[in-house]
Amino acid sequence: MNFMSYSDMSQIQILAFGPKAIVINWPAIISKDINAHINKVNQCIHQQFEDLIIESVCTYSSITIYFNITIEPIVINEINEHLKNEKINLPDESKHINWNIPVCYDASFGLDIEGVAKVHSLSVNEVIKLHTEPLYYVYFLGFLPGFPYLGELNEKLYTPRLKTPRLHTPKGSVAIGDKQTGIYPSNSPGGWNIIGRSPINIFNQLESQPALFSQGDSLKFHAIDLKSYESLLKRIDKGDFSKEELMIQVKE
Amino acid sequence: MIQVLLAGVYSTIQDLGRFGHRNIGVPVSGSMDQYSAFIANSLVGNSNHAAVLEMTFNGPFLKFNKNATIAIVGSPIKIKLNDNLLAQNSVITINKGDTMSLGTISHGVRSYLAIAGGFNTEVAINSRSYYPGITHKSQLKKGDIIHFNCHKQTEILNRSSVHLDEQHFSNKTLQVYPAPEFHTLSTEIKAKILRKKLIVSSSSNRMAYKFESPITIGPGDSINEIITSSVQPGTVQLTPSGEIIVLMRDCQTTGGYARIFQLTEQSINQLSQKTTASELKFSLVNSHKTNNI
Repeated sequence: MNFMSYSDMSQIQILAFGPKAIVINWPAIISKDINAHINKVNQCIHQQFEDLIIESVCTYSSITIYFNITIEPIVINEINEHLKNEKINLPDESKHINWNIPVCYDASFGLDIEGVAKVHSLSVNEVIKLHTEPLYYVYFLGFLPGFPYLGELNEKLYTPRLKTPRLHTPKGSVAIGDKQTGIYPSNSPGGWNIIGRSPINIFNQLESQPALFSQGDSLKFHAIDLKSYESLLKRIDKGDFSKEELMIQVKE
Repeated sequence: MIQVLLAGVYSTIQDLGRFGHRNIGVPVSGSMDQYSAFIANSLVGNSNHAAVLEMTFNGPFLKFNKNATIAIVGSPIKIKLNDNLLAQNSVITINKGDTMSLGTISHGVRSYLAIAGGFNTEVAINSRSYYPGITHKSQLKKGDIIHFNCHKQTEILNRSSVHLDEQHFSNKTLQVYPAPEFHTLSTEIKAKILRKKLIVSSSSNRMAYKFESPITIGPGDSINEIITSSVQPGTVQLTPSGEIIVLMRDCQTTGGYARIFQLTEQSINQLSQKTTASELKFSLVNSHKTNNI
Protein backbone atom coordinates (compact mmCIF):
# COMPACT_ATOMS: atom_id res chain seq x y z
CA MET A 1 0.00 0.00 0.00
CA ASN A 2 1.45 3.25 -1.17
CA PHE A 3 1.49 5.95 1.50
CA MET A 4 -0.04 8.54 -0.79
CA SER A 5 -3.01 6.40 -1.61
CA TYR A 6 -4.47 6.60 1.86
CA SER A 7 -3.05 9.85 3.21
CA ASP A 8 -4.40 11.57 0.13
CA MET A 9 -7.48 13.12 1.63
CA SER A 10 -9.27 13.42 -1.68
CA GLN A 11 -9.92 9.69 -1.31
CA ILE A 12 -11.98 10.03 1.81
CA GLN A 13 -15.70 10.39 1.87
CA ILE A 14 -17.72 11.95 4.70
CA LEU A 15 -21.30 10.70 5.06
CA ALA A 16 -24.07 11.62 7.48
CA PHE A 17 -25.19 8.83 9.78
CA GLY A 18 -28.29 10.36 11.32
CA PRO A 19 -28.40 13.91 12.71
CA LYS A 20 -25.65 13.42 15.30
CA ALA A 21 -23.08 11.15 13.67
CA ILE A 22 -20.84 11.06 10.63
CA VAL A 23 -18.87 8.30 8.97
CA ILE A 24 -15.51 9.00 7.36
CA ASN A 25 -14.70 6.29 4.83
CA TRP A 26 -11.35 5.38 3.36
CA PRO A 27 -11.21 2.86 0.50
CA ALA A 28 -12.71 -0.40 1.77
CA ILE A 29 -9.46 -2.29 2.14
CA ILE A 30 -8.17 -4.36 5.05
CA SER A 31 -4.67 -3.04 5.53
CA LYS A 32 -2.60 -2.39 8.63
CA ASP A 33 -1.32 0.85 7.12
CA ILE A 34 -4.78 2.27 6.51
CA ASN A 35 -5.94 1.09 9.90
CA ALA A 36 -2.99 2.69 11.70
CA HIS A 37 -3.48 5.86 9.67
CA ILE A 38 -7.18 6.27 10.45
CA ASN A 39 -6.48 5.85 14.14
CA LYS A 40 -4.03 8.75 13.95
CA VAL A 41 -6.60 10.83 12.07
CA ASN A 42 -9.09 9.93 14.79
CA GLN A 43 -6.72 11.29 17.46
CA CYS A 44 -6.38 14.53 15.48
CA ILE A 45 -10.14 14.93 15.16
CA HIS A 46 -10.58 14.37 18.88
CA GLN A 47 -7.96 17.01 19.66
CA GLN A 48 -9.60 19.53 17.36
CA PHE A 49 -13.28 18.94 18.13
CA GLU A 50 -13.07 17.55 21.67
CA ASP A 51 -16.03 19.55 23.02
CA LEU A 52 -18.40 18.28 20.35
CA ILE A 53 -17.59 14.57 20.47
CA ILE A 54 -19.14 11.88 22.69
CA GLU A 55 -17.02 9.10 21.27
CA SER A 56 -15.82 7.59 18.04
CA VAL A 57 -15.44 4.10 16.64
CA CYS A 58 -12.68 3.16 14.20
CA THR A 59 -13.08 -0.03 12.18
CA TYR A 60 -10.92 -1.41 9.34
CA SER A 61 -11.07 1.64 7.14
CA SER A 62 -13.67 4.02 8.60
CA ILE A 63 -14.20 6.34 11.53
CA THR A 64 -17.66 6.97 12.93
CA ILE A 65 -17.92 10.04 15.12
CA TYR A 66 -20.81 10.38 17.54
CA PHE A 67 -21.45 14.04 18.40
CA ASN A 68 -23.28 15.58 21.33
CA ILE A 69 -24.94 18.08 18.98
CA THR A 70 -26.86 17.98 15.73
CA ILE A 71 -24.31 18.25 12.97
CA GLU A 72 -24.73 21.28 10.76
CA PRO A 73 -23.10 21.17 7.32
CA ILE A 74 -20.66 23.82 8.52
CA VAL A 75 -19.12 21.38 11.01
CA ILE A 76 -18.71 18.77 8.28
CA ASN A 77 -16.99 21.35 6.11
CA GLU A 78 -14.73 22.25 8.99
CA ILE A 79 -13.75 18.63 9.52
CA ASN A 80 -13.17 18.25 5.80
CA GLU A 81 -10.93 21.33 5.70
CA HIS A 82 -9.16 20.19 8.82
CA LEU A 83 -8.42 16.77 7.35
CA LYS A 84 -7.23 18.23 4.07
CA ASN A 85 -4.83 20.65 5.70
CA GLU A 86 -3.65 18.62 8.64
CA LYS A 87 -0.36 16.87 8.16
CA ILE A 88 -1.32 13.54 9.64
CA ASN A 89 2.18 12.49 10.46
CA LEU A 90 2.16 12.91 14.18
CA PRO A 91 3.76 10.11 16.09
CA ASP A 92 1.35 7.44 17.22
CA GLU A 93 1.04 8.21 20.91
CA SER A 94 -0.66 5.04 21.99
CA LYS A 95 1.33 2.11 23.32
CA HIS A 96 0.95 -1.06 21.33
CA ILE A 97 1.52 -4.37 23.01
CA ASN A 98 2.56 -7.73 21.60
CA TRP A 99 0.61 -10.41 23.45
CA ASN A 100 1.32 -14.09 23.83
CA ILE A 101 -2.00 -15.88 24.38
CA PRO A 102 -2.11 -19.49 25.61
CA VAL A 103 -4.68 -21.72 23.92
CA CYS A 104 -5.58 -25.32 24.67
CA TYR A 105 -6.47 -26.98 21.36
CA ASP A 106 -7.68 -30.18 23.09
CA ALA A 107 -10.70 -31.69 21.32
CA SER A 108 -12.77 -31.31 24.52
CA PHE A 109 -12.61 -27.52 23.91
CA GLY A 110 -11.95 -27.40 20.17
CA LEU A 111 -15.26 -28.94 19.18
CA ASP A 112 -14.71 -28.20 15.50
CA ILE A 113 -10.92 -28.62 15.21
CA GLU A 114 -11.22 -32.08 13.64
CA GLY A 115 -13.83 -30.77 11.22
CA VAL A 116 -11.58 -27.85 10.25
CA ALA A 117 -8.65 -30.23 9.74
CA LYS A 118 -10.80 -32.48 7.56
CA VAL A 119 -12.06 -29.63 5.35
CA HIS A 120 -8.47 -28.69 4.52
CA SER A 121 -7.02 -32.25 4.46
CA LEU A 122 -4.72 -31.35 7.31
CA SER A 123 -3.89 -33.12 10.56
CA VAL A 124 -5.04 -31.51 13.81
CA ASN A 125 -1.39 -30.80 14.63
CA GLU A 126 -0.96 -29.00 11.32
CA VAL A 127 -4.02 -26.84 12.10
CA ILE A 128 -2.48 -25.94 15.46
CA LYS A 129 0.86 -25.18 13.83
CA LEU A 130 -0.72 -22.94 11.19
CA HIS A 131 -2.87 -21.16 13.78
CA THR A 132 0.01 -20.47 16.18
CA GLU A 133 2.48 -19.22 13.54
CA PRO A 134 1.26 -15.74 12.58
CA LEU A 135 1.54 -12.53 14.55
CA TYR A 136 -2.07 -11.35 14.39
CA TYR A 137 -2.84 -7.64 14.24
CA VAL A 138 -5.80 -6.14 16.18
CA TYR A 139 -7.73 -3.92 13.75
CA PHE A 140 -10.48 -2.93 16.16
CA LEU A 141 -12.80 -4.29 18.83
CA GLY A 142 -16.48 -5.03 18.20
CA PHE A 143 -19.15 -7.75 17.92
CA LEU A 144 -18.93 -8.46 21.68
CA PRO A 145 -17.33 -6.27 24.39
CA GLY A 146 -13.57 -6.81 24.05
CA PHE A 147 -13.75 -9.02 20.94
CA PRO A 148 -10.70 -8.39 18.71
CA TYR A 149 -11.00 -8.34 14.91
CA LEU A 150 -7.72 -10.00 13.93
CA GLY A 151 -5.99 -10.02 10.58
CA GLU A 152 -3.40 -12.38 9.12
CA LEU A 153 -5.12 -15.77 9.46
CA ASN A 154 -3.28 -18.26 7.23
CA GLU A 155 -5.29 -18.80 4.02
CA LYS A 156 -5.03 -22.55 4.52
CA LEU A 157 -7.32 -22.17 7.54
CA TYR A 158 -10.08 -20.11 5.91
CA THR A 159 -13.21 -22.07 6.90
CA PRO A 160 -16.87 -21.26 6.24
CA ARG A 161 -19.03 -20.46 9.27
CA LEU A 162 -21.21 -23.22 10.72
CA LYS A 163 -24.42 -23.76 8.80
CA THR A 164 -26.38 -23.52 12.02
CA PRO A 165 -24.85 -21.16 14.61
CA ARG A 166 -24.41 -22.59 18.11
CA LEU A 167 -26.66 -21.11 20.76
CA HIS A 168 -23.76 -21.30 23.18
CA THR A 169 -20.12 -20.68 22.37
CA PRO A 170 -18.25 -20.74 25.69
CA LYS A 171 -16.21 -17.80 26.94
CA GLY A 172 -12.54 -18.11 25.92
CA SER A 173 -13.32 -20.11 22.78
CA VAL A 174 -10.80 -19.55 20.01
CA ALA A 175 -12.53 -19.86 16.68
CA ILE A 176 -12.34 -19.42 12.92
CA GLY A 177 -15.10 -17.80 10.83
CA ASP A 178 -14.34 -17.49 7.13
CA LYS A 179 -11.13 -15.44 6.83
CA GLN A 180 -11.06 -14.39 10.46
CA THR A 181 -10.01 -15.79 13.79
CA GLY A 182 -10.77 -14.50 17.27
CA ILE A 183 -11.46 -15.18 20.93
CA TYR A 184 -14.92 -15.02 22.49
CA PRO A 185 -14.71 -12.69 25.54
CA SER A 186 -17.93 -14.09 27.03
CA ASN A 187 -20.47 -16.86 26.50
CA SER A 188 -22.39 -16.04 23.36
CA PRO A 189 -24.26 -17.55 20.47
CA GLY A 190 -21.78 -17.99 17.63
CA GLY A 191 -21.39 -19.31 14.12
CA TRP A 192 -17.62 -19.74 14.08
CA ASN A 193 -15.71 -23.04 14.15
CA ILE A 194 -14.34 -23.54 17.66
CA ILE A 195 -10.78 -24.88 17.60
CA GLY A 196 -9.64 -24.34 21.19
CA ARG A 197 -10.02 -22.37 24.39
CA SER A 198 -7.91 -19.83 26.22
CA PRO A 199 -8.10 -19.48 30.02
CA ILE A 200 -7.29 -15.75 29.74
CA ASN A 201 -9.96 -13.15 30.52
CA ILE A 202 -9.89 -10.74 27.60
CA PHE A 203 -12.66 -8.54 29.00
CA ASN A 204 -13.20 -7.53 32.61
CA GLN A 205 -15.80 -4.85 33.20
CA LEU A 206 -14.43 -4.18 36.69
CA GLU A 207 -11.08 -2.91 35.44
CA SER A 208 -10.45 0.69 34.43
CA GLN A 209 -9.40 -0.62 31.03
CA PRO A 210 -11.95 -3.40 30.58
CA ALA A 211 -10.60 -4.80 27.29
CA LEU A 212 -7.25 -6.63 27.31
CA PHE A 213 -6.48 -5.74 23.69
CA SER A 214 -6.43 -2.36 21.96
CA GLN A 215 -6.42 -1.41 18.31
CA GLY A 216 -2.86 -1.66 17.00
CA ASP A 217 -1.78 -4.43 19.39
CA SER A 218 -0.47 -7.70 18.02
CA LEU A 219 -0.90 -11.18 19.37
CA LYS A 220 0.41 -14.68 18.94
CA PHE A 221 -1.29 -17.84 20.12
CA HIS A 222 0.74 -20.62 21.72
CA ALA A 223 -0.51 -24.14 22.38
CA ILE A 224 -0.79 -25.46 25.93
CA ASP A 225 -1.96 -28.88 27.10
CA LEU A 226 -5.03 -29.59 29.19
CA LYS A 227 -3.01 -29.77 32.43
CA SER A 228 -1.41 -26.35 31.88
CA TYR A 229 -4.80 -24.94 30.92
CA GLU A 230 -6.30 -26.11 34.19
CA SER A 231 -3.46 -24.91 36.39
CA LEU A 232 -3.46 -21.52 34.63
CA LEU A 233 -7.23 -21.24 35.02
CA LYS A 234 -6.87 -21.98 38.76
CA ARG A 235 -4.27 -19.24 39.14
CA ILE A 236 -6.47 -16.77 37.23
CA ASP A 237 -9.52 -17.61 39.35
CA LYS A 238 -7.49 -17.13 42.53
CA GLY A 239 -6.27 -13.76 41.28
CA ASP A 240 -2.71 -15.10 41.26
CA PHE A 241 -2.03 -14.00 37.69
CA SER A 242 -0.94 -10.76 36.10
CA LYS A 243 -1.58 -9.81 32.49
CA GLU A 244 2.05 -8.63 32.29
CA GLU A 245 2.92 -12.33 32.00
CA LEU A 246 1.27 -12.28 28.57
CA MET A 247 3.20 -9.32 27.20
CA ILE A 248 6.01 -10.18 24.86
CA GLN A 249 6.89 -6.61 24.09
CA VAL A 250 5.53 -3.12 24.60
CA LYS A 251 6.10 -0.84 21.64
CA GLU A 252 6.26 2.79 22.76
CA MET B 1 -35.26 -1.40 49.35
CA ILE B 2 -37.62 -3.45 47.20
CA GLN B 3 -37.98 -7.22 47.34
CA VAL B 4 -38.77 -8.98 44.07
CA LEU B 5 -41.42 -11.60 44.86
CA LEU B 6 -41.99 -12.43 41.18
CA ALA B 7 -39.83 -11.04 38.40
CA GLY B 8 -42.11 -10.74 35.36
CA VAL B 9 -41.21 -11.98 31.87
CA TYR B 10 -38.34 -9.60 31.27
CA SER B 11 -37.68 -6.75 33.68
CA THR B 12 -34.43 -4.80 33.67
CA ILE B 13 -32.93 -1.67 35.21
CA GLN B 14 -32.11 0.96 32.56
CA ASP B 15 -30.84 4.52 32.42
CA LEU B 16 -29.80 6.72 29.47
CA GLY B 17 -27.13 4.20 28.50
CA ARG B 18 -23.43 3.52 28.49
CA PHE B 19 -21.32 5.94 26.47
CA GLY B 20 -17.62 6.24 25.80
CA HIS B 21 -16.80 2.56 25.32
CA ARG B 22 -18.22 1.70 21.93
CA ASN B 23 -14.64 1.60 20.63
CA ILE B 24 -14.07 -1.56 22.72
CA GLY B 25 -17.36 -3.11 21.64
CA VAL B 26 -19.53 -2.13 24.62
CA PRO B 27 -23.16 -1.55 23.52
CA VAL B 28 -25.00 1.64 24.51
CA SER B 29 -28.12 0.00 26.09
CA GLY B 30 -30.51 2.21 28.08
CA SER B 31 -34.32 2.45 28.18
CA MET B 32 -35.88 1.27 24.92
CA ASP B 33 -38.60 3.95 25.11
CA GLN B 34 -36.77 6.94 26.51
CA TYR B 35 -39.84 9.15 26.13
CA SER B 36 -41.86 7.09 28.62
CA ALA B 37 -38.88 6.68 30.95
CA PHE B 38 -38.36 10.46 30.86
CA ILE B 39 -42.00 11.20 31.76
CA ALA B 40 -41.87 8.65 34.59
CA ASN B 41 -38.73 10.25 36.00
CA SER B 42 -40.18 13.76 35.63
CA LEU B 43 -43.32 12.81 37.57
CA VAL B 44 -41.30 11.80 40.62
CA GLY B 45 -38.92 14.76 40.36
CA ASN B 46 -35.89 12.84 39.06
CA SER B 47 -33.42 14.01 36.46
CA ASN B 48 -33.60 11.97 33.26
CA HIS B 49 -30.31 10.31 34.27
CA ALA B 50 -32.02 8.36 37.06
CA ALA B 51 -32.29 4.60 36.55
CA VAL B 52 -35.79 3.18 36.03
CA LEU B 53 -37.31 -0.30 35.89
CA GLU B 54 -38.18 -1.38 32.35
CA MET B 55 -40.96 -3.97 32.23
CA THR B 56 -41.57 -6.04 29.09
CA PHE B 57 -44.90 -7.80 28.30
CA ASN B 58 -45.78 -7.82 31.99
CA GLY B 59 -44.53 -6.56 35.31
CA PRO B 60 -43.11 -7.99 38.54
CA PHE B 61 -44.68 -8.48 41.97
CA LEU B 62 -42.83 -6.26 44.42
CA LYS B 63 -42.68 -5.67 48.16
CA PHE B 64 -41.52 -2.27 49.40
CA ASN B 65 -39.58 -2.33 52.68
CA LYS B 66 -39.34 1.47 52.78
CA ASN B 67 -41.68 4.37 52.01
CA ALA B 68 -41.39 5.44 48.38
CA THR B 69 -42.88 7.63 45.70
CA ILE B 70 -43.16 6.11 42.26
CA ALA B 71 -44.71 6.65 38.83
CA ILE B 72 -45.44 4.14 36.09
CA VAL B 73 -45.50 5.33 32.49
CA GLY B 74 -45.57 3.56 29.13
CA SER B 75 -47.88 1.09 27.46
CA PRO B 76 -50.98 0.32 29.57
CA ILE B 77 -50.23 -1.97 32.52
CA LYS B 78 -52.48 -3.22 35.30
CA ILE B 79 -51.27 -1.81 38.65
CA LYS B 80 -52.45 -3.19 41.96
CA LEU B 81 -51.16 -1.66 45.20
CA ASN B 82 -52.06 -4.11 47.97
CA ASP B 83 -55.66 -4.75 46.83
CA ASN B 84 -56.39 -1.45 45.10
CA LEU B 85 -56.28 -0.89 41.37
CA LEU B 86 -54.40 2.30 40.46
CA ALA B 87 -53.96 4.38 37.32
CA GLN B 88 -50.64 4.83 35.58
CA ASN B 89 -49.13 8.15 34.49
CA SER B 90 -49.55 9.58 37.96
CA VAL B 91 -47.58 9.77 41.18
CA ILE B 92 -48.14 6.85 43.57
CA THR B 93 -47.27 7.02 47.27
CA ILE B 94 -46.05 3.75 48.74
CA ASN B 95 -45.86 2.93 52.42
CA LYS B 96 -43.38 0.58 54.02
CA GLY B 97 -44.73 -2.96 53.77
CA ASP B 98 -46.93 -2.36 50.71
CA THR B 99 -46.97 -4.90 47.91
CA MET B 100 -47.44 -3.99 44.28
CA SER B 101 -48.52 -6.37 41.58
CA LEU B 102 -47.83 -5.26 38.02
CA GLY B 103 -49.85 -7.24 35.50
CA THR B 104 -49.98 -7.71 31.76
CA ILE B 105 -49.00 -4.87 29.43
CA SER B 106 -51.61 -4.28 26.74
CA HIS B 107 -51.55 -2.32 23.44
CA GLY B 108 -47.76 -2.11 23.61
CA VAL B 109 -44.64 -3.77 24.89
CA ARG B 110 -42.92 -1.75 27.61
CA SER B 111 -43.77 0.23 30.70
CA TYR B 112 -41.44 2.09 33.08
CA LEU B 113 -41.41 2.38 36.85
CA ALA B 114 -39.51 5.40 38.15
CA ILE B 115 -38.88 5.88 41.86
CA ALA B 116 -38.16 9.22 43.52
CA GLY B 117 -34.39 9.32 44.07
CA GLY B 118 -33.74 6.70 41.39
CA PHE B 119 -32.70 3.05 41.65
CA ASN B 120 -29.33 2.57 43.25
CA THR B 121 -28.18 -0.62 41.57
CA GLU B 122 -24.68 -1.58 40.41
CA VAL B 123 -22.88 0.89 38.15
CA ALA B 124 -20.78 -0.93 35.55
CA ILE B 125 -18.78 1.12 33.04
CA ASN B 126 -20.60 4.40 33.81
CA SER B 127 -24.15 3.05 33.66
CA ARG B 128 -26.70 1.03 35.62
CA SER B 129 -28.29 -0.40 32.46
CA TYR B 130 -28.41 -4.18 32.66
CA TYR B 131 -26.40 -5.95 29.97
CA PRO B 132 -25.16 -9.55 30.20
CA GLY B 133 -21.43 -9.66 30.86
CA ILE B 134 -21.28 -5.97 31.79
CA THR B 135 -23.58 -5.87 34.82
CA HIS B 136 -23.74 -8.93 37.07
CA LYS B 137 -27.49 -9.14 36.55
CA SER B 138 -29.07 -9.32 33.13
CA GLN B 139 -32.70 -9.35 34.24
CA LEU B 140 -34.73 -9.22 37.44
CA LYS B 141 -35.01 -12.56 39.25
CA LYS B 142 -37.34 -13.73 41.98
CA GLY B 143 -35.70 -12.98 45.34
CA ASP B 144 -33.66 -9.99 44.10
CA ILE B 145 -33.33 -6.96 46.36
CA ILE B 146 -33.30 -3.60 44.58
CA HIS B 147 -32.05 -0.55 46.43
CA PHE B 148 -33.12 3.00 45.72
CA ASN B 149 -31.85 6.40 46.77
CA CYS B 150 -33.53 8.53 49.41
CA HIS B 151 -35.19 11.72 48.31
CA LYS B 152 -36.87 14.75 49.77
CA GLN B 153 -40.63 14.17 49.70
CA THR B 154 -41.32 17.89 49.39
CA GLU B 155 -39.91 18.01 45.89
CA ILE B 156 -42.78 16.01 44.50
CA LEU B 157 -46.18 17.37 43.70
CA ASN B 158 -48.45 14.79 45.20
CA ARG B 159 -51.22 13.41 43.02
CA SER B 160 -49.71 15.00 39.95
CA SER B 161 -50.40 13.20 36.71
CA VAL B 162 -49.75 13.67 33.00
CA HIS B 163 -51.42 13.00 29.71
CA LEU B 164 -49.11 11.30 27.29
CA ASP B 165 -48.91 12.15 23.64
CA GLU B 166 -51.32 9.61 22.10
CA GLN B 167 -49.35 9.76 18.85
CA HIS B 168 -46.41 8.23 20.65
CA PHE B 169 -48.23 4.90 20.89
CA SER B 170 -50.42 5.04 17.77
CA ASN B 171 -48.03 6.44 15.16
CA LYS B 172 -47.42 3.96 12.34
CA THR B 173 -44.65 5.83 10.55
CA LEU B 174 -40.95 5.47 11.28
CA GLN B 175 -39.14 8.70 10.45
CA VAL B 176 -35.73 7.96 8.96
CA TYR B 177 -32.65 9.77 7.71
CA PRO B 178 -30.60 8.28 4.88
CA ALA B 179 -27.65 6.32 6.34
CA PRO B 180 -24.19 5.76 4.76
CA GLU B 181 -25.14 3.03 2.25
CA PHE B 182 -28.53 4.44 1.18
CA HIS B 183 -26.99 6.09 -1.88
CA THR B 184 -25.57 2.73 -3.03
CA LEU B 185 -29.08 1.27 -3.54
CA SER B 186 -30.80 1.27 -6.89
CA THR B 187 -33.79 3.59 -7.37
CA GLU B 188 -35.97 0.53 -7.58
CA ILE B 189 -34.88 -0.91 -4.24
CA LYS B 190 -35.15 2.50 -2.57
CA ALA B 191 -38.73 2.80 -3.78
CA LYS B 192 -39.59 -0.76 -2.72
CA ILE B 193 -38.33 -0.15 0.79
CA LEU B 194 -40.20 3.14 1.17
CA ARG B 195 -43.42 1.51 -0.07
CA LYS B 196 -42.99 -1.64 2.00
CA LYS B 197 -45.53 -2.54 4.66
CA LEU B 198 -43.36 -3.56 7.61
CA ILE B 199 -44.90 -6.23 9.84
CA VAL B 200 -43.13 -6.59 13.20
CA SER B 201 -41.80 -10.13 13.68
CA SER B 202 -42.01 -12.01 16.98
CA SER B 203 -38.23 -12.34 17.09
CA SER B 204 -37.82 -8.66 17.98
CA ASN B 205 -36.01 -7.77 21.20
CA ARG B 206 -33.76 -5.18 22.87
CA MET B 207 -31.03 -5.83 20.28
CA ALA B 208 -33.10 -5.53 17.12
CA TYR B 209 -36.56 -5.36 15.59
CA LYS B 210 -37.15 -7.65 12.64
CA PHE B 211 -39.97 -7.75 10.10
CA GLU B 212 -41.90 -10.46 8.28
CA SER B 213 -41.17 -11.14 4.57
CA PRO B 214 -38.02 -9.64 3.04
CA ILE B 215 -38.23 -7.30 0.06
CA THR B 216 -37.84 -9.09 -3.26
CA ILE B 217 -34.72 -8.27 -5.17
CA GLY B 218 -35.18 -8.19 -8.90
CA PRO B 219 -32.80 -9.89 -11.35
CA GLY B 220 -29.85 -7.66 -12.10
CA ASP B 221 -30.18 -5.92 -8.75
CA SER B 222 -28.14 -6.74 -5.67
CA ILE B 223 -27.52 -5.63 -2.13
CA ASN B 224 -23.94 -5.95 -1.01
CA GLU B 225 -22.54 -6.51 2.45
CA ILE B 226 -20.02 -3.89 3.55
CA ILE B 227 -16.62 -4.13 5.16
CA THR B 228 -17.46 -4.25 8.90
CA SER B 229 -18.21 -0.74 10.12
CA SER B 230 -19.95 1.10 12.93
CA VAL B 231 -23.68 0.77 13.72
CA GLN B 232 -25.82 2.48 16.36
CA PRO B 233 -29.27 2.13 17.94
CA GLY B 234 -31.80 3.07 15.26
CA THR B 235 -29.67 1.92 12.31
CA VAL B 236 -31.73 0.15 9.64
CA GLN B 237 -29.77 -2.66 7.98
CA LEU B 238 -30.60 -4.39 4.71
CA THR B 239 -29.24 -7.91 4.27
CA PRO B 240 -28.25 -9.38 0.87
CA SER B 241 -31.43 -11.49 0.98
CA GLY B 242 -33.59 -8.38 1.41
CA GLU B 243 -34.32 -8.67 5.12
CA ILE B 244 -34.80 -5.38 6.97
CA ILE B 245 -33.44 -5.13 10.52
CA VAL B 246 -33.75 -2.13 12.84
CA LEU B 247 -31.03 -2.17 15.49
CA MET B 248 -32.18 -1.21 18.96
CA ARG B 249 -30.57 -0.08 22.25
CA ASP B 250 -28.60 -3.28 23.01
CA CYS B 251 -27.19 -3.64 19.48
CA GLN B 252 -23.59 -4.47 18.72
CA THR B 253 -21.25 -1.58 17.96
CA THR B 254 -20.22 -2.83 14.51
CA GLY B 255 -21.85 -4.76 11.70
CA GLY B 256 -21.43 -5.88 8.11
CA TYR B 257 -24.85 -5.27 6.53
CA ALA B 258 -25.65 -2.19 4.43
CA ARG B 259 -26.81 0.71 6.63
CA ILE B 260 -29.65 2.27 4.71
CA PHE B 261 -31.50 4.43 7.24
CA GLN B 262 -31.10 5.95 10.67
CA LEU B 263 -34.29 6.31 12.74
CA THR B 264 -34.98 9.54 14.60
CA GLU B 265 -34.75 9.19 18.39
CA GLN B 266 -38.52 9.58 18.54
CA SER B 267 -39.03 6.72 16.10
CA ILE B 268 -36.70 4.42 18.09
CA ASN B 269 -38.83 5.12 21.17
CA GLN B 270 -42.06 4.54 19.27
CA LEU B 271 -40.85 1.33 17.59
CA SER B 272 -39.92 -0.13 20.98
CA GLN B 273 -43.64 -0.11 21.88
CA LYS B 274 -44.76 -2.04 18.77
CA THR B 275 -46.15 -5.52 19.36
CA THR B 276 -45.72 -8.50 17.03
CA ALA B 277 -47.71 -8.10 13.79
CA SER B 278 -47.91 -4.27 14.08
CA GLU B 279 -47.82 -2.63 10.66
CA LEU B 280 -45.43 0.23 9.97
CA LYS B 281 -43.85 2.21 7.15
CA PHE B 282 -40.68 4.19 6.68
CA SER B 283 -40.81 7.85 5.78
CA LEU B 284 -37.73 9.90 4.90
CA VAL B 285 -37.21 13.01 7.01
CA ASN B 286 -37.17 15.88 4.61
CA SER B 287 -33.92 17.53 5.55
CA HIS B 288 -31.39 19.36 3.46
CA LYS B 289 -28.90 18.86 6.25
CA THR B 290 -28.62 15.15 5.76
CA ASN B 291 -29.25 14.75 2.06
CA ASN B 292 -26.65 17.00 0.58
CA ILE B 293 -23.41 16.13 2.25
